[in-house]
Amino acid sequence: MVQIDLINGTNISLMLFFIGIYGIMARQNIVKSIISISIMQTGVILFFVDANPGDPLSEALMITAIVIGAAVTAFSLMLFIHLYHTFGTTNWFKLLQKRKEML
Amino acid sequence: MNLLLYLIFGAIIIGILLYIFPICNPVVISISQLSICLAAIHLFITVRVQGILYLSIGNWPFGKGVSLYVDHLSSALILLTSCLFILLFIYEWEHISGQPLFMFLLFVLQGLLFALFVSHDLFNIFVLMEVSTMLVTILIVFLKNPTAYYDGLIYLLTNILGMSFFLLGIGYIYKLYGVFDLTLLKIAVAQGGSSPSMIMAYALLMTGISFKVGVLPVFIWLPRAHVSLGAPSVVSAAISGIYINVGFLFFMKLQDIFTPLVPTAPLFFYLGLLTSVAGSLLALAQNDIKRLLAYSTVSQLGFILIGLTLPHDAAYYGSIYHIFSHSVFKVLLFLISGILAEQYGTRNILQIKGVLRRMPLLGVCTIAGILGITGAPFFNGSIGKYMISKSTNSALFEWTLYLITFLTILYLSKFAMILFGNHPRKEISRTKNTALLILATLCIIGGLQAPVFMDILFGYSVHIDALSYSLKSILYILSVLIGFVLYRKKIQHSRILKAIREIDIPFNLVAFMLVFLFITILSASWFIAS
Repeated sequence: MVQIDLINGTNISLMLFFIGIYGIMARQNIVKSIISISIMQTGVILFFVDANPGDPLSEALMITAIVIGAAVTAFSLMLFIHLYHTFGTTNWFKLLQKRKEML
Repeated sequence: MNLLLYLIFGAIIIGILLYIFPICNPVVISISQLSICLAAIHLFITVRVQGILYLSIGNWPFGKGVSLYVDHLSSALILLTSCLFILLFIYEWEHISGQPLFMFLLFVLQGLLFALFVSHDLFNIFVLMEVSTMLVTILIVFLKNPTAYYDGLIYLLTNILGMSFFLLGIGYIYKLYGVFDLTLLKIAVAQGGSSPSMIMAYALLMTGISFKVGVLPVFIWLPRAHVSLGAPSVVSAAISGIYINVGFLFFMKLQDIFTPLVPTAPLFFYLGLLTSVAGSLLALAQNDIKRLLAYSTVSQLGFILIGLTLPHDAAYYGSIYHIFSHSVFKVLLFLISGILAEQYGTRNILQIKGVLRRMPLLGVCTIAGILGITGAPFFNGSIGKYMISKSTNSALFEWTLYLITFLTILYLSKFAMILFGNHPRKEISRTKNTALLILATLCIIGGLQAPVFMDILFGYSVHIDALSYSLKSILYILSVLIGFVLYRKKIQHSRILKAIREIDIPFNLVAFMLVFLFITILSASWFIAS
């Protein structure tokens, strides 16, 4: 029987990481950028948890990373809401243009 | 050892107390800052006498818990940070009483900086970097200016992106070696030998750190953070002068671990060179006084990076000395630019005129800062430049360094234009003058007494050759004259500079450049290691 070794935690986590990077590079929507960063962080967390299965240290550290990730997401969404109230757009390029007009 | 914990947690706890209780006044702040500074001096002397200190919080076995590690360099950085923070608070003296929240944030920033300087395991570094990123973002948008939220968001997202690379690198390290502590990592890397996974880990870690340092393709976040309209000038000074040192410290630590296997010094040499030249050109293009200073930070840090990558002790220590000089004169110039923006009601450098007539003392301090940053003889900037340039015999290299100095002189000629012109006299507050005068004096003493400072700070004895130093001084004076004339005649109205000034880079491109930097570092280290 052939074992499918490709689908393991490490590979999936790296895939998630690079999907997140793709999202950040290709999407012009600010919310999608924030979501992409969350996806990247999920990938990193999976990488750690899968690094040494059952290791309490890496799991404990990843709880810290999850907390930081949640705080960062909340904070960036807060900044985004302020920007949306001021400029009324969710697009990076339009935001840049409107900001230039304002300055 | 408890002193170290006092430095980190003391600053944060005092900040919280200031915020909760109505005790936020100049006396309390100065007493607490002085106590922090005394603790920093004591720690500095202890490290000089006893050597490297190592502390594991919570008595965990070596390599498991949070470990703190104080060597010569980090204790010197702590001393510098605490001294500069005292000056920042003296500068803010009149505005202290009304703003407990701002004081709280500054105290926490100070505590975090101390913690970053002494932390010695990768995950701890990551956590502290993330927390300080969030804190700096809050400080950037502090004045709630609508356009500042954009700067804040860009700063936050790009830095989180960079730190994600760093965290994945830590994951690779943990999977490969099972350690976080840098001391253990050094041993493990030396034993483990070179492997593709190790190179991947190295590239990921260095991408994160290069991003924090701000090398060529990814430095865009740096001026955004430093010149945000929402940040008080104290914040600009603290970020641009002090916070930037963190990146260099970890750059040195990581290079020290990985250099035996992946000697990537040439790569970072060229990155530093490109960063320095690009930063100078962009600085020359700016009309905004703070933006000019922010790009000059980019150019200076490129220069420091050049020195750190040269395989020579003199260059290495010259570079570290330049980090210290840079902190002093950049804090000075940013504080001055804050006063100017307030007094003239504009940040446009072409509209600010006659500073020497209007505020003579401030004008003199500005001159000291400018002479410091351009590396004038007998000023602190000249020592680092002299030591880096003397470390090699290559003529090409010397001329490259000279080109950077010349570009620095060019964009500071633009800055120096603010000094001249007529304007009625006006006084600024005595506390602000005091802070500026102390900084300006430090610029001169740092140049005149450089060997003493070198010996005290890093235990390195430097010999400055009078002949070559005076030759460099003559070259300096000549290039100042040429630079000044060239700026007045040719560059002032150049169209190219106007075009450069208009460039604004969207977030997606920053992310793309970060990936590009990652691929560059990965392929270069792959190429070097194989």
